[in-house]
Amino acid sequence: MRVAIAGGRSRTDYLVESLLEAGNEVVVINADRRWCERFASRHDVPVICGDATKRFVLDDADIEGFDIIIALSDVDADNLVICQMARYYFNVRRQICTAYNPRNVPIFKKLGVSTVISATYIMSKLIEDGPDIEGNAVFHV
Amino acid sequence: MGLFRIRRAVVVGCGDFGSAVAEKLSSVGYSVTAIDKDASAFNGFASRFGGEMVLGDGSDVTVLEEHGVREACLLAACTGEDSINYFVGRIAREVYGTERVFARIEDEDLIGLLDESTVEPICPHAICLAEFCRAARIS
Repeated sequence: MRVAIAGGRSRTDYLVESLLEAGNEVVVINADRRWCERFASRHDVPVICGDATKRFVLDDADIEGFDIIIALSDVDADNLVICQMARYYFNVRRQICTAYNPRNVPIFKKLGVSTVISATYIMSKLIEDGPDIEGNAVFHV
Repeated sequence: MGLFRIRRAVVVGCGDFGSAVAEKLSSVGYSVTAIDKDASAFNGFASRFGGEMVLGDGSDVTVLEEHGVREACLLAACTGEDSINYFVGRIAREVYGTERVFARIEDEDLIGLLDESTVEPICPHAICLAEFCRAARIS
């Protein structure tokens, strides 16, 4: 699959490694030039330095028809815009949007983002669903 | 005596534009709540403005709900950030059903993502350009 990752730092590092291992094609977009330079020296993937909420930056990243975009910035509104730009201007089929505020999870879904992930939201679900017999937390999807 | 319904409005972002919008709405009879995350935004604004001033993050749905987004018939998203204004505008309209919603957005590609029947975009540089062309008599 072809995957674009916008924003994020250590999470991007980790994701790129696991996505490459699984044989995916990956493109990374990040506004922080120094981070981009360091990242490019460690990974052999295209890195576009720019603001992923802008259409021309996504255009430079050449993501037309990509299978997935993952928005990892720490501003929820930026993640929403990144996902919508990718969906409507570049026909990216699936958008995975991270939400810092767990209350934005149902809102982003309502506004048309295909998948929304919030660590706090998942945590509360884990607690709600309770541990299994062995004491492991179970997350029912 | 007829029924008089108070019209509520929420303004998110109180820079030059947002504070002027809040003052205007207040002066024509709206009960206005102005939200900004920076306390200094209210400096010099407090003495002229008759509405409620809230220090908080207007892009947080909890803050919006606590300050009357459900009861508002008008919301103006006036921060300096396109993404925030786009986000706040869309949730006001599509989640809370606010009747009239305005969002200040510079990026025309982002405006292109809006269904104009829901959120009405206000594009400052486009308005300035139109005014320049009018003043300079360039068509």
